[in-house]
Amino acid sequence: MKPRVILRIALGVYFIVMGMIKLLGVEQFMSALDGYGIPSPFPLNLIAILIPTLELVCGLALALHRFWRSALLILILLMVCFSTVIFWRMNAIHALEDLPRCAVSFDCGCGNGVVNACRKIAINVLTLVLMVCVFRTKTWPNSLK
Amino acid sequence: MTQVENHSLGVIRTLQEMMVLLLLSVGIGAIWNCCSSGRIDLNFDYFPAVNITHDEAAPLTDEDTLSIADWRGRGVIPQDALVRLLADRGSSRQTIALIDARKEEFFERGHLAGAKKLDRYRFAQDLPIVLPICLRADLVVVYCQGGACDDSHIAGKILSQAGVSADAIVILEGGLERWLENKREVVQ
Repeated sequence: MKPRVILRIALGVYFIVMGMIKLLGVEQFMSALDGYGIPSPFPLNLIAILIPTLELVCGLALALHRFWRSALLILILLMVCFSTVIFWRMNAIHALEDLPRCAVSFDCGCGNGVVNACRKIAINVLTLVLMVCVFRTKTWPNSLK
Repeated sequence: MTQVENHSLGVIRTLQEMMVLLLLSVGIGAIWNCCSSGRIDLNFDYFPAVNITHDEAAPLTDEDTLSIADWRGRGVIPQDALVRLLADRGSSRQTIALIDARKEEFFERGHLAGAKKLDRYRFAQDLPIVLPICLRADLVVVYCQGGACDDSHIAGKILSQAGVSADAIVILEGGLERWLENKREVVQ
């Protein structure tokens, strides 16, 4: 099996697990979203349901090799958004509590509870690099195969 | 087919697939939300802005003589006062409703005797049970785990939005943590 295929399946499984964790602990996820100042009720509640299912569906598509490039594109966009809001909140806490940026920890809504913001951003950047590696081909978007 | 047309078709197909995945996610999300026990009501505000001003009850010298109705409008009730009111309630015509504002799993592990749960994430199933009791009660005592927990205040807001008089709602000072610290009884 090619390394890229293994990486695609691994990323798919990762997002399926992340989506399931958020869906099964939707209350904790909502609470984390509230921390980002997302307006409540409708936008927050909708995002709390939509993001985990989007991760789940895209993870499945990635693992099963169906619409996988579109799924990967959605996940890349999601990951960029997640990392941006984590960075923004990390800066807000840094300014408010006068903590060094890399000492800031909070529940980012990533499914792992309270995490160090710097470490989470680093993990997200690494995941993004892996996703871009899987996504990149010489033929896309010209290939209609 | 030219290179540009091929390129455009590839982009369009990717966008179509993204739309399919998005719609599929919306559908699965809707089904999941309908079928799961922790159903989220899209229009319900689970995080209302609450004004948490009464973390500690004001010291009272006449605490021992206060009746249930005297605690209305005070915002917070000390634990000793609640214990005394609960012990005396057999001799009073006034009633107290005890509301546990914690999550269902914590409620099941142990709660004050006679308390009803009002988990804000399960309000659709809890409120119809709790509301008639609260509307009849002269005093509604809401408690959560303790500390700076805002669940009591949010449960209080849910109850007042549902029609319970805001004056009748008081928060138990210190929550369940202090209740247990004082070696008071809980039931499962």
